[in-house]
Amino acid sequence: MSHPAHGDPPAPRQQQSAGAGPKTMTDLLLLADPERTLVNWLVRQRGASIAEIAVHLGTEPTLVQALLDDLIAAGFVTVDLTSDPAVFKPNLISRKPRTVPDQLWKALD
Amino acid sequence: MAQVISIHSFRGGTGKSNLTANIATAVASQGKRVAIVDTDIQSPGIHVLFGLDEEDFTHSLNDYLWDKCSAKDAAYDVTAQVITGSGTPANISGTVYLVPSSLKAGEIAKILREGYDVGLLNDGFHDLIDQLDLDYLFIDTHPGLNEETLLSIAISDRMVIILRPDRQDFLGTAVTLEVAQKLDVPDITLLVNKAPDIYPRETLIDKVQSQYGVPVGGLFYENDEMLQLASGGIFWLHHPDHAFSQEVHTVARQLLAAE
Repeated sequence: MSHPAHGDPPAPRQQQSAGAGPKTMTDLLLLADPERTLVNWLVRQRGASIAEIAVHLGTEPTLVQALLDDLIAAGFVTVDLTSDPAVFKPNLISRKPRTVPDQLWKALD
Repeated sequence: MAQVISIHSFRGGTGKSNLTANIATAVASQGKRVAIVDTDIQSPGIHVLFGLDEEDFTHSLNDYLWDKCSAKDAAYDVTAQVITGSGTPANISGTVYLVPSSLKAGEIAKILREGYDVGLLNDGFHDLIDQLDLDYLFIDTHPGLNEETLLSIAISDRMVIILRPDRQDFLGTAVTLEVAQKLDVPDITLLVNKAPDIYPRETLIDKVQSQYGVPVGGLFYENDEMLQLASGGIFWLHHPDHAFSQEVHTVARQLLAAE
């Protein structure tokens, strides 16, 4: 994975890795501390630009990009490229669909 | 800026919804604009305390999550429904909104089956804060730890955990605190509810605080009047001079002081 030179505004990824996300809140709990703390913060903010994240973390945008790349690849974060600047958002659902037999669900409908 | 407060308990039967309704109404009585969201989608019930039944609401949180209405459409101003023990309106100086969850079995099942977008729920909370000009948003969660509860914890400015003086509650609360810390909740308060009156107040508070290292914001003793009211209203309005009611206001003042 290549990253822009130090100081350059990094270009966001165009899309998340296929099939990696969305993730659940339980998955979030299993993340390592730095990644989990960032996603927690993104959940509260409901999304942030790379510059905002860099300010929050007190670190360089290039390092933030590396962290975000990993989170995007893992399916925890998506990027909204229609915003300018691009906005990184948490990619979470409440739960994965249950695998209870259809007959049971139909009985409740 | 509005405060988001999630009210949680690890086990059922702690009096969570009852305390949520009482505290939220006490905050509203100080002129604040308050909303309660019933995210206990699997077993909703807080609407009962406000005298609502299923026929009284056309939209619910479920409808919002299925994009059938806005979050604001599912919010009901229940201020006028808040009555005193004599049946007269309580004349709350603020406003209380309630966002109920659906009581229809099929709609509960649909949420359980299909899940929903956590981001949508989070957006809905913020829409409510903005569009209803709220000072406080209370989230009444499902007991235990599940996906919805984790989200509620994750987005809260403050988390209130309710426990009884019971070994199972004590163990579960430790787990909840560990999760809350992992989700970076800024402020956590414990409320001890349904305490038998054989326990001296200070002893019990000291024991809980020293066990968890988290402040106890209130201690509520079990009482017959609460059992008699049987979720038939907001307790402190029915028994304004009762020790339970005084403690409700103490907790409300703590929340207001943290503004």
